[in-house]
Parts: sequence; structure tokens; C-alpha cells
Amino acid sequence: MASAQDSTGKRAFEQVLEQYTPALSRLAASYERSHGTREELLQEIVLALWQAWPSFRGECSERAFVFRIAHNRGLTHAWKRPPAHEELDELPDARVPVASEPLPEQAVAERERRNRLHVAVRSLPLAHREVVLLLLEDLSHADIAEVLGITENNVAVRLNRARAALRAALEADQ
Amino acid sequence: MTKTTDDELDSWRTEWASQTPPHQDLQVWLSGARRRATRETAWSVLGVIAMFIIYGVMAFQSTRIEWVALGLAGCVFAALGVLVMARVRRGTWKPVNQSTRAFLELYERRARAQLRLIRFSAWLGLGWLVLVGVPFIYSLWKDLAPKSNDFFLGVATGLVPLLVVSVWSMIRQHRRATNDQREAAALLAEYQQPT
Repeated sequence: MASAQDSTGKRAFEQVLEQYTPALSRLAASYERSHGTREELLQEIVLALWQAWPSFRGECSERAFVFRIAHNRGLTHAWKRPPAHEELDELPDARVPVASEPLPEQAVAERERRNRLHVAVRSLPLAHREVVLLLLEDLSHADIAEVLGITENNVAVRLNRARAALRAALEADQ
Repeated sequence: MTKTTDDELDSWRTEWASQTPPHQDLQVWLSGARRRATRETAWSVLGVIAMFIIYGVMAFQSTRIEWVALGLAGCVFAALGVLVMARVRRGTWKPVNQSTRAFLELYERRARAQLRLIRFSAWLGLGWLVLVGVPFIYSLWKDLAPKSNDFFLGVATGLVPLLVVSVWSMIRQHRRATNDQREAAALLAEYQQPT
């Protein structure tokens, strides 16, 4: 009986992991620039998620639960490791293989915009970065409040300030 | 999902979601990590058991009083170390809930526990040296000193580097744990302030 429950729980966790890995990877990337350390952070997040998964009782959405764990790990990571300087080979697209054919202008522009957004998000102070990240990952205000442990009103105030900071960072980069 | 007609936000979200950094197969990594964790726990338990067996054998099999005393003292000090570690680390394994505040509190508790353990280790080491090490060396000295002129040189070359490395390592760990605790406390205070 217990073994069947374990097996179901394990399958559910594997599904959750598969579903959220891209988002978790983006979240890790916004806390850590270096590829190697980012992988370590991602592993820490997955381990924390696996440890916390049995305690998930559905009091909040699965999405909020996953992001709450990931966010807490990211926060601890950011607190323990001051951000390293941006290196050219650690920029978001630096590991994408270079295409043999020249990219069309539109694709190049899109890539630059994406890179600018990632760099701008990383440049935000931690308090702003955490709300912006969750907003970009399409979490509702209620879920963001749940993840950060603050009220929805507080979320709205923080989001307003964080968006202004992100806009300013993007404009400064232009 | 947030329904929004906010063009700026929609465009940011599209750009954000369109790029996922390359990452490893986490399922495979997790199975490996679980196996490693189980193995490490088993090795730690075996290490503690082995320590008690070695000291126990030393205490009950030896015919010389100083080795019996060393074995018994080893068992007592090891038991004390394990008990205090278990007591100090209680409540530092996982957060009381999954909130950010609980996580920060947990990290502050861990840093405080680490500090207490370092201080306890320093006292334990000092106690070991005074109550066990010195009498043991004295008993050896009584037997060996008349036969060897280099007894104190031998003790000094064995003991001094060990003491220096232990003290240096303890100071380093203490400094790191103090910084961790300060930073955790500052972050916690910052988090509790309304924004």
C-alpha cells in the first residue's frame, strides 16, 4: 500500500519535474550567470523540491509550490554568492551553436532583445528581481503572494516598482 | 494565469519564455544524487560505529591501564560529541513550512547551530587534550623517556602541526559561520520590513 503510494508520488514528481524544468532553468539563470554554478543551483532546487514534495498537500497551486521552493533556493544562493561580473562566454546565447548560415536580421534582433531582457532582469536588485521573475513566468498575483509570503496588495506595490526598474534597466541598455 | 492586455508585459513574457538555458537531464541526476545521499549516510553511520568499536576494543582488550583509559575516554568523548551534535542540530534539517521567511529562519538557525558546534568542538578538543592527551603522554613519557632522548621532539612534531591546523581550521569555520549568521539575520530583518 505504502509502496504503491510511493510509486504514485514518484511518478507525479517526475511529471512535475518534466513540466517545470525549463522554467526552473530560466529561474536559475537569473540568479547565476556562470554555466557551471547555474547547473549546481538547478540541482539544489531539484533536490529541495524532491525533499519538499511529500509535504505538498494542495494548500496552494502546484505552480506556486514549485516556484516557492525554487525561489527560496535562488534567494539563498544569491545571498551566499555575490554576483560575478558578466563574462562574454556566459551570456545567455553564448552556448547556442553558431549557425553556418547567416541569421536573418529579424532573428538577430529577437535574439538581442531576449539577451537584453535576461541581462536586465539579472541586473535588478534581489527584491525586484524575485517579483519580476515570477511575473515573467506568468504567475498570478495570488500565486506570487503565496510564493513570497506577502499580501496581494504588497505584490502589486512591488510589481509596480520592479517593472519600472526593469523598464529603466532596458532603456539604459539601449 | 494572469489575464492581461498589457502589451509590454506580454512581449516580455514571450521573449522570456522563448529562451531556456541548456540544462542536464535532471531525472538522471536526481536518481544519482539519491543513491549518493544514501551511501554517504551509510558511511557516516559506519564511521561512528567503527570509532566506538576501535575505542571499545582498545578499552576492553588492552592490558595496560593508559590504553584502557584512552579507550574509555574515547568512547565517552565520542558519545558526548554525537549527543551534542544531535541536540544542537535538532530543528535545522528542514523549514517549518515552505515560506521564504521559514527558509531564512532555517538558515539563520543553521548558522547559529554551526557556531555552537564549533565552540563546543573547541572546548571538547581542549578537554580531550587536558584530561586525556596530557595524562596519556605523561604515562608514555614515564616508560619511554629513559630509553629515548627524542621523546619530546617526537611528541612536539606530531602534536604541534595537528594543533595549529585544528585551531586555524576552527577560526576559519567560526568566521564563516559568524558571517553567515549576520547575513541571514540582516536578510531576515529586511524581509520582515514592509516594502
